[in-house]
Amino acid sequence: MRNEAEHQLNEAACDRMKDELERTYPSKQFVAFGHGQVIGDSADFFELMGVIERQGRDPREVMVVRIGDEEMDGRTIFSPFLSDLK
Amino acid sequence: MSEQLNPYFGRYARPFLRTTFSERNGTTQELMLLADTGSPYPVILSPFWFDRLVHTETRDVDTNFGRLYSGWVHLYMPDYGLSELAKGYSNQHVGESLAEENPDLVGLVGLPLLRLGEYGGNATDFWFRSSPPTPTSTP
Repeated sequence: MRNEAEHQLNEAACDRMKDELERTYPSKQFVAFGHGQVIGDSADFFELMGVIERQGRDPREVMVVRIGDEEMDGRTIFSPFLSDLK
Repeated sequence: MSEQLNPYFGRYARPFLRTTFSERNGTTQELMLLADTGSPYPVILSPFWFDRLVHTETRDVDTNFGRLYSGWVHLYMPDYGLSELAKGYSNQHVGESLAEENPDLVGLVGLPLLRLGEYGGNATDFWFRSSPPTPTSTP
């Protein structure tokens, strides 16, 4: 079950640092947020998971973004299946 | 080359894909997911399976079907040459609606995932197969 307060904190930090993240890290780098701060980064997602676990954190409560990924917010799902189900 | 040929199922002859994911502990899970080229999101799962398969969270998204929780999942289908991190999404309403259609349906795969292989359909079946190796240029 998600920790919504933690998620909101991390998402707000990610929004606030968006430009800085793109200046600091290379494209495709994975960057992890915990308690509203950057807690690690790696080009390898599973290596970053190891870093998070060694910090004693639950990875499911950490937010990871990949630098340069296409923005997926606000997209329309043109789904005949879901429209039938709606 | 691996291939799955799945007869359409249910009242509305839905296409589906048997899709395998790796959990955080390395256990693999094969799920029956509706194949939907109209979705720009790679994978949308019921909340139960999202919670089970997600490795970490990522940024949520708002869509015309409401807000989707978001996280990283590991698509693991070695027979198809696929071991890919993908953004997985979840929404209670979508999960419940799919379950009403068929309890075995626990989500859907969208175009970004289908494009990792080759896919298509005819009057009776939907198919998915691994992409052939990219030809190398000869001098």
